[in-house]
Amino acid sequence: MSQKQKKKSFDLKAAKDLFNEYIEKGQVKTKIEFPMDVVKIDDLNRKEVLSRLYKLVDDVLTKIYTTGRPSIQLPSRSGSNIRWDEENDLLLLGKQIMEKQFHTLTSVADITRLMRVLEVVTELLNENLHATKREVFYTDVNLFKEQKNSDKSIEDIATMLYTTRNSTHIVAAPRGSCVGRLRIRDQTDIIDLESQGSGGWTISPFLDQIEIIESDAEFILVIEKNAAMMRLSEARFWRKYPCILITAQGVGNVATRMFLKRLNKELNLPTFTLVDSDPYGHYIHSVYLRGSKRLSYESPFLATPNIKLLGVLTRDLDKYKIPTEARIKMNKQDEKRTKDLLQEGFVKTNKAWEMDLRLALEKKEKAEIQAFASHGFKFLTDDYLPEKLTTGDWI
Amino acid sequence: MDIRIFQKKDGGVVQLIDKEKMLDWPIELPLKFVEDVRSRLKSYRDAKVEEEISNYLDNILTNLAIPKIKEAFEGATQDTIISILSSIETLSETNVGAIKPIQSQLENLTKNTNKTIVAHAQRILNNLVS
Repeated sequence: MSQKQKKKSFDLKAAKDLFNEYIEKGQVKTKIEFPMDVVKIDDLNRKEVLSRLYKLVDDVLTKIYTTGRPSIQLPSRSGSNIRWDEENDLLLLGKQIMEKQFHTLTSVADITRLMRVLEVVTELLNENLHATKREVFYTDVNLFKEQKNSDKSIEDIATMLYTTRNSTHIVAAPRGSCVGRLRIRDQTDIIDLESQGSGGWTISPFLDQIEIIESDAEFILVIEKNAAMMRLSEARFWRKYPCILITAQGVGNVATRMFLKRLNKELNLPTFTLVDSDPYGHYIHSVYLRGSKRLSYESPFLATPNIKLLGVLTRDLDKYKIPTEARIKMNKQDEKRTKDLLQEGFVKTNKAWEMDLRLALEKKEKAEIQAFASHGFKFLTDDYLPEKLTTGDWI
Repeated sequence: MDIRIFQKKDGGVVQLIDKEKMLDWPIELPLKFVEDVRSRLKSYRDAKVEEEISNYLDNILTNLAIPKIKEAFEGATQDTIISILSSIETLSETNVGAIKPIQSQLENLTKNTNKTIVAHAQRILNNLVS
């Protein structure tokens, strides 16, 4: 880079303006109004979940006594029952109901697994313990055979109880990490996220025990890759630019997305993603933005609808002069994924996003965040990010 | 209101948890919180915000942290008092300033009939002196 460019100073004006706009408005949205044709899912405490669980079992027992043919009803999680709520920019679960019969040969394995998971959930709630999905699988390997079977039953139980999976005390294994201008409480400990080493604080899946207690951050940056997170951590990026950095190393897991949602909502901070310039990176951004199809019933607790795609945008490749050798040619699958994204309602209504994806299809090029290293290791932290946050060049 | 916002001149903010949210915290934790935030006041680099936050911390200390500890020292079981003192002792090893506001309560505890309580209180007071 030239000497002239090195002397640039960045005041992050656009990000600050967005933050002030949020503060003036107060909380972005305290209560979401849902459309009529979606089911309502609640984040419940232990007592409330147990109460719903006992009622469910009572209903099954009543059916056994009265008809001898028990069944369980739950909202269908099939693709045809997933709704995109344009107003709230969320993927939600429709009101289509499916019934699981206890007495058919085809459903016997499924229903037995379901009842086993229900038993595990009851135990966890009564003992006030948490378990990972993997641990639940190991409670009865012979019955579940593969973890995908116990995972499916876990999601069925949460949907049946109209609650989030975390409320059932079944949590995902910790994967995400967080570092920056933030202090939290974890039961009796106050944790300073500026002093957690370069790896940061591992986002606890026991989020019901976490409380945000202090922050002087001005924005949140969600980073797709651990390598980029390390670059920012090593530069102590948050010291110069007060922020909170988060990574889930790929698609955000439940704990990371839920934690991000809480940070965004409670601290009212502008939130951005930094992902690879490829369809998978855009997909990762979309999962933070409006939830995933598989966990659409939990979207209101997992999605961050005001998150912005900071980069790496397709248009950035030319703007920041990424050398040809640092760019990667799109393969057929990339092209298909890009076309699929272009069909999504939430992309169609966002013209800037649509344009960037069309540009990617036209150029048939992609690039990783690390491609900026072709301008030097500090380019990402000293030039690219500060410039984008100053000029407001995001989607 | 879950969060208190303190606006800085440069457009930045400091956000602190509301005092009401601390009511259910472990007894010694508000004291730890107050001292933790106090230790970073200078890092906010805004005199007005420093003063506002300092006043807010004083309010937490006077109306929540100390009364909670005092109440526990006077009415809780000996096991609970020992548990609280144990946490406070750990805090006194790294941040002795946090203990000053409860010095008189600790001095009272040195007259307690329970030897463990007396030993803990004495060690904390020693940390305060050294």
